[in-house]
This record gives sequence, C-alpha cells and structure tokens, in this order.
Amino acid sequence: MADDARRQRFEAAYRELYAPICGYALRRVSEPEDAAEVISETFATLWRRFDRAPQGEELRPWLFGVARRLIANQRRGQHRRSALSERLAANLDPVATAHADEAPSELARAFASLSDSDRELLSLVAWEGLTREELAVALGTNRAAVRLRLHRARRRLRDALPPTQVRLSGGQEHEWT
Amino acid sequence: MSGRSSIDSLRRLAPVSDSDAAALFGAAGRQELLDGVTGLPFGRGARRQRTTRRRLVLAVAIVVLVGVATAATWVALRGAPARETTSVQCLIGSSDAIIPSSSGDPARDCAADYRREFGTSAPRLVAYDNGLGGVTVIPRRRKPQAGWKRLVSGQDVDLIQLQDSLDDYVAGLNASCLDSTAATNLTEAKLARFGFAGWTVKLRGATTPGQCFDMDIVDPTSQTVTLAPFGAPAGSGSTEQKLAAKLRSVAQSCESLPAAVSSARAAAASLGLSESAKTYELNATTDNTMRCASIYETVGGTTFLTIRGPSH
Repeated sequence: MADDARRQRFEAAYRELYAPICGYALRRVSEPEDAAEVISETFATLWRRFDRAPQGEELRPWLFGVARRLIANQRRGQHRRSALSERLAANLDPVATAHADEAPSELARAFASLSDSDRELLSLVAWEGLTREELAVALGTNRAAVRLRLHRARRRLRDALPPTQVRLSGGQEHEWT
Repeated sequence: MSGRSSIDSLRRLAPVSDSDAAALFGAAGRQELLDGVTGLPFGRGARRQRTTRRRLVLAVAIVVLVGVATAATWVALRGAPARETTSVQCLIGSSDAIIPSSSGDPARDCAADYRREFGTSAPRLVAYDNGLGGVTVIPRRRKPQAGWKRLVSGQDVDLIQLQDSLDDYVAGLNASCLDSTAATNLTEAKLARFGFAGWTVKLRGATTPGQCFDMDIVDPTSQTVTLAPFGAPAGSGSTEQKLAAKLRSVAQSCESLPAAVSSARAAAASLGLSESAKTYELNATTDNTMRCASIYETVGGTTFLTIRGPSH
C-alpha cells in the first residue's frame, strides 16, 4: 500500500473513530490524562497495524478491543505516559473536565455494584452501541458466548435493583441486538 | 427491567458523550495526535522499536485471547474445573489485575503480584471459579459473587508451563521468526514434552512468506493450540532478545532453582534491568520433581521471568 494512500485511509478512519474512542476511554478511566494515554496508544496501535487491522465494519469493534486492553494495562499500574499522550493531554479543557456531583440513582448504584466484566459488557452495549456481532469482535469471542454473558449480566443487574425499580415485560426478557 | 428498557436507562448513565469527550482535547489536540501518530514508524520497523509497555499490550492480548478461548467453552460446560486456564484475576482492594499464572496456586500468584506492586503483604486470599471462564482471587473476608465456586485444587501446572514455553523468548515462538511449519513443529514438540497427547495444532491467518507465527491460543477444552502471525518478534538488538540470549546458556547448564535464579538476576542486571524498578519480574517456584531448572521469558509491559526447578 502506498504511503499516501495508507495515510488517507488512516485519516478517514481516525476522523470517524476519534470521538467514539475518546468517549470510550473517558467513560472508563477516572483521570483525563489516563484517557489521553489510552486514546493516543489506541490510534498509534492502529497506525502501526493498519495493513493488518480489520477493515470496514469490523474496524470499530476491533479498535474498542485495543482500547479495552490498554485500559486493562493501566489498571495494572504498568504504564508510562508517552510523548503522544502528553501532547494530547496538554490540550485538555480544564473547565470541561470538572464533574458535576450528582447523587447516584438506584440504577447507577446497581450498575456500580456489578463486576468489572459485567459493567464492561453492558456499557459496551448501552454506551458504545455495539451490536452482538461487534461485541464478539471487541471481546474476541463468539456470538453464542456474548449472548450468554449478556443474559447473565442483565440478570445480575436486575437482581441488584430494588424491587420497585424492576420492570418486567410479561416475565420475558428481550434480546439485545 | 426488560432488555430494551435497561439499555435505554443505562445509556443515560453514561458519564460523558462521545462529542463532549472529543471536545475535551479540542480541535488542536485532535490534530496534534493525528500528526504525531502518522509521524510514527509504520509496520514492522515500528514493532522492532516497540517499548516494553507495548509488549504488555501484546502479552495481555494473548492472555485475554487464551482466557476467552477457554471462556466460551467453559460457559457451555458449567462446572468444568477452573484450573484449565493460565491466567488469574486478582481483585484485592482497589487493585484489579489479570496476571499470568506461574505457580499453579492462584492465591499465591496474586499475593506475590500484590507484594511486588504495593510492597506489603496481601491479606489472606481465596481463589474462585468465577463462572465466566476464569479464576478470580479475592480477600478471604470479602464475599464472593453469586455463582462463584471456591476452587478445590490449583491450576494445571503443565498447562501453565506449556503456555509459558510457547510464549517464551528463550526457546519458544518468540525466540526467532518461525514460519508456519517451524512453529507447528515446535508446538508439537512442546505438547509432547508436557504430556499433552492427542492435541491438535491449528494455523490461523494467511501463511505468506516472511510471516512469523508468534502468537498461540491454548484451548484445553478442545485440546487445540492455534498459532497465528502477530507480527515480527523483537529484533536481536532489543533488550528482551539480549536477555533471552543470556538465559539460553543458563537454561542449558542444568542448574538448581537457587542457582538459576541467581544466574538470571545477574543476566538481567548486566543489561540494566531491575526488579525494584519493575523493568522485569521474577517468579521462582520450587519443583523437586525436576532435575534441572527451566527458565521462561515472556514479555509484556515488563519482562516476566518464570523459573521452576529443584531446590538443590
């Protein structure tokens, strides 16, 4: 692939996926500087592996998978800030980083009580809008496993809610698609 | 709460929208990152220059893939023994780490990792089958989640050794660039060495000339090892390969565990690596059924040296 063509294709992917990856990172790490590290390393990984990365619809969930593993590394505490992330973090808007102090809802409490893996699975659907097929790509597993894990995560979320918050649809649970 | 209503409700919990998140770094940040990323070396050259932290991404990816490979089948076979994994999730206090198994005792591995990370002893720990395809270790005083089953035995040490020996830089798939045939032969030899009869070695990905099959997915449920090209192993000038070259002679000299540990520490120190600076981690396990110590070097974020051998 010619360098110019590669760069053009990369830039197109970057334009499309920059905001979703920023959102994904900032929704999962507490410090914006850490999010900057995840964002910059995610796109650096994409650049380095662009010829081998999935193309088309699979690229987005694949990139979420990359970001997810980078966050897992951060949580292990084994990371150093790269020059790239320092440059991105230097542009942080200090006003926008201020968080509102809102009392958590019952749903927020129940969601927070779930395991990391359940929260990640549910938020990939609810926050990132991944379909079951995309979840399988992001998590590196198959659709059947995704379906089962989603079912269990939803059930645990439901169990964690107070009875008044649980709204069942005729005793049936809808499939997430 | 129905599936759809729960999604809609959860969506409202999102702490920040995509557009707000992107705006946080501004248009300048977005452009600077694009310029910085596209100014990086591309492809294989970049991989040879990769930092140890980037190796962690690869190693964790492999660990995750291995975990996921077993998870899918575990979920289908509820109640299957959790020891059929080669990684452990350690949930201790606010620390949540997935680490490669080394001793076969998940609680011991997590305690050692905790001590390295925080410099203090971990509380008493208990290992559980988490029902999602893995082993999770938590403090004894903490209540396990519903559905978790306490492990009654440790993890399969032979499987851990198989995984380590495949990922190994000293004599495994990362020691040099192996094509599909050489990687298959090496894997079959290692399966035989650790007593895994009847297993199948599969290849994933195109076998184009020059590709290095340096990634393995060990799935004990289907008894398969899947090999795939994941890029070129680090070049001979890299620190991890220099260390592997030094450890090769140690591994061939049939040393006891204490002697091998001492030799490995000396080799690492000669390259400027330090346990206290966390540029490498050393896990030593006594195994008096062995005649000589084995040394495996795996890399990811830091360099992991796993040494197993007789006490004298």
